[in-house]
Amino acid sequence: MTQIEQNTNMAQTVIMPETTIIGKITGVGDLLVKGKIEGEVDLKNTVTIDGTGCSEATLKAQNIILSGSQTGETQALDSIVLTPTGVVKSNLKAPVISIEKGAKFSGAIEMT
Amino acid sequence: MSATEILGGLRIEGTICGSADVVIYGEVKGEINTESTVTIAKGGKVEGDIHAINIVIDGEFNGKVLGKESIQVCPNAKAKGELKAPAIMIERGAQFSGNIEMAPVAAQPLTKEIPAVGAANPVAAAMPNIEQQAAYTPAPQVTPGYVSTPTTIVS
Repeated sequence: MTQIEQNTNMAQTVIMPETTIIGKITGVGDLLVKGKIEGEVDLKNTVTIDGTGCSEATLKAQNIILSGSQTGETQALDSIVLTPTGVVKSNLKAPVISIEKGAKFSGAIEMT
Repeated sequence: MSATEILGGLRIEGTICGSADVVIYGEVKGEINTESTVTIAKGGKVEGDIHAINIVIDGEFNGKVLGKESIQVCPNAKAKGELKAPAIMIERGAQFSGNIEMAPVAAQPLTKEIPAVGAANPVAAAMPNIEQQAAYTPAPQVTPGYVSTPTTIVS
């Protein structure tokens, strides 16, 4: 459990497993994806793709935690973390990038 | 089932679909198409079409709503557009302009049978009579926090 994951106690937008959002998500706030998203996400705070979550979106946020599936560009201002259940096919770009044991990753990494 | 909650700071442009309830405190522009209850909470803003089972509007809405069971426009609502459902409730204080059509919405493949009009269905039976409609409270699919109060339509 990283320090960032403690954010799950704060109020956040939650996309439930039975919900799919296709389009552009922007604004201020944390986002927890347990369902499916496609398109583009550009948020000021933390984006978490949960174990059940499936993202085919370009993710841009302060911190990004990938515990589910992510396909698409991933860019963070602070950090990107792939947890053991993450399955990621993406180009990662952030100052701090961490891939935990068990995570599946393919793509390019750029520690800006 | 827990609801998908879109908090105040977020803006979504696109389509939301699925079978989970959706509660919108932020902004949505586009289409919402779910087999569930969609709630536009106070402070929430939706522009576009909503197709759902029950819709509760307590924020701002501009567009077309098709409810398979009901549409409820709450006191804080500012709604503009078209509402179509077998049961439609407009609470005192709500601001609405547009068209209302109280009619069954075209059948789509659902997991349960749609009851025939005239059968022991309080929704269909209450339709022609405003007093009965005022006393009618919808099936408890309204999101917690949105307790429906008896409606009076001021003529």
